[in-house]
Amino acid sequence: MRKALRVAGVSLLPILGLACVAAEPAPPPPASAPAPAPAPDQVISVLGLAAKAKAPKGSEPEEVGRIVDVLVDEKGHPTAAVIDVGGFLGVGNRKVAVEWGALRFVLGKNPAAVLDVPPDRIKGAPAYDPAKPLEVLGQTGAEAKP
Amino acid sequence: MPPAPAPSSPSAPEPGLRALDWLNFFIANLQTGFGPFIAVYLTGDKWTQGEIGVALSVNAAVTMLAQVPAGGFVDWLPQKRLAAAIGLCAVAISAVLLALFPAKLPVLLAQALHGFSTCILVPAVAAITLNRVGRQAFAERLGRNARFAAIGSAVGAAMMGAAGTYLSSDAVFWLAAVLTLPALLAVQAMPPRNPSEDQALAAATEPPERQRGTLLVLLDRRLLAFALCIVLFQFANAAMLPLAGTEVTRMAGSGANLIIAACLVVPQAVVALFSPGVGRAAERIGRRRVLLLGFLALPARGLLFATVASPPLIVAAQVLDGVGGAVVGVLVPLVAADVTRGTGRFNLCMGVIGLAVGVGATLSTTVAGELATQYGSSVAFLALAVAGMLAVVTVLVGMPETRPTPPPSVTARPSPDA
Repeated sequence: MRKALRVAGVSLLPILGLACVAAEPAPPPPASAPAPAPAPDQVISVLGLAAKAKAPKGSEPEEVGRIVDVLVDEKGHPTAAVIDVGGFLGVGNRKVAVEWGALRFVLGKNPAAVLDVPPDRIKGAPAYDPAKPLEVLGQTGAEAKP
Repeated sequence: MPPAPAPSSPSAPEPGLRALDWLNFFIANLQTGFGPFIAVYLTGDKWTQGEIGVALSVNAAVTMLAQVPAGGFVDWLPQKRLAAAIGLCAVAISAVLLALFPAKLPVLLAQALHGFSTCILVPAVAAITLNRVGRQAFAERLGRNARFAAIGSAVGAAMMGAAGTYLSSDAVFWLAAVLTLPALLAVQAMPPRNPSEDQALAAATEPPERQRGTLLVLLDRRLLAFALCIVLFQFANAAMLPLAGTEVTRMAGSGANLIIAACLVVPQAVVALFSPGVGRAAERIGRRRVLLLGFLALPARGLLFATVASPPLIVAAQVLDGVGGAVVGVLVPLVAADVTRGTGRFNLCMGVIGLAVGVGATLSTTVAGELATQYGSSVAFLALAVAGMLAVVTVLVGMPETRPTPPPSVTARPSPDA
């Protein structure tokens, strides 16, 4: 009889444990995270990603440079992308900051970040300098100082 | 006794000298793939800006540290063509490493290797030239070397630019590696010097009282003065084109890349056209006057860059870059040869001047970059122009004439710097 009680008691323990775990409140959902994690082919790496500009008259977007940095605010929301634009054989490259919302990311075989801004405006935007107040090229090509 | 005519008449070089032309061409050609393009290449391979900075600094540091030892090495090695071959193989390995393995360690190794190979190649080619044509024709032959190097640079810029745009970024380094083959062939094609001459030279050691120790060579006032002038020249010169390039990108919009390409090619065209003339002038009117004229191009160019905004004028100002480049390109080996005559330390001296070039260039890009971000590019250009003026004054005040008087021995026997 006692042995049966002991066996029953021991076998109840895992069931009790499971009940405890089930009774715990669910962990709080992570702040502002999307519910399912994206599949590998649904994400692209931003560092070194080609940045393309709107081309005149509907031809292929023209590559103007590569993303070299992402600037986020204190909540972790991306504010701007820093793009290294222009240059020939490395001579004449400049870094400009572009509003994050102005970027449209294209996945697939040739991933890129496409800007709906003419290449001239991108290349002519104010230079990005981490030590200075941020000047960001906005969606319409207008410059904004957030 | 009237001096014998120069053994190499520019219109009909012997086969060995024709190979020297091609050697200069191909070396300059493959070197255009390295340099600032590496930053672009690594950016595309997801290197962060900080990491890229480290890679570039490794190259700069190794180049500066290796200059003098590599020069000493080339002095020590009797076969200068072998030294050139070693340098070329090192460049080829560096290019292949960069193309195949864009990861941290291989790239740093490739950068170090490339720096080291440049330090060997430059003195080796100059030493080969000195041995082949002797001192009397040296100046003009240097001008011809610079001509072929300039053509090689211009063609290289076009080829590498096209490869980078239409093929892929690594194509540039594969191309550079492949181009070492014709360069090695050119080294091979230079016939070895007459064996009996070699024996005579090996037997004839410099009398001890005429042989100056390394330290005395390094402390020669003429060398120090020239090195100082070169530091100041590079300080004013090195940052001008990169800064002008960013201005062109900012202002010229969609045609910017073509304009920058023109800014790269125009000075090479000037060097190709005028370098032999610079060499002849250095013999006729002296090194100092030619240096002055070349240095004067610097403040002029700085002023132009500070004041004009129109891209075509920027390209026109690059003609002055060519003038300065032609003068310095010819005079550096020439003065090194002048100062080390009879000492067997020619390449060591080239290494010292190479170090001066590196120091000046690094200071230039650092200071001018800071000035440009703080106060704008016009201020930076003006500062560079002032520095250029300082270089001119230093030549005026401190640079002695190194052209040997009377003219060197007319037997046209190659120097003992074998």
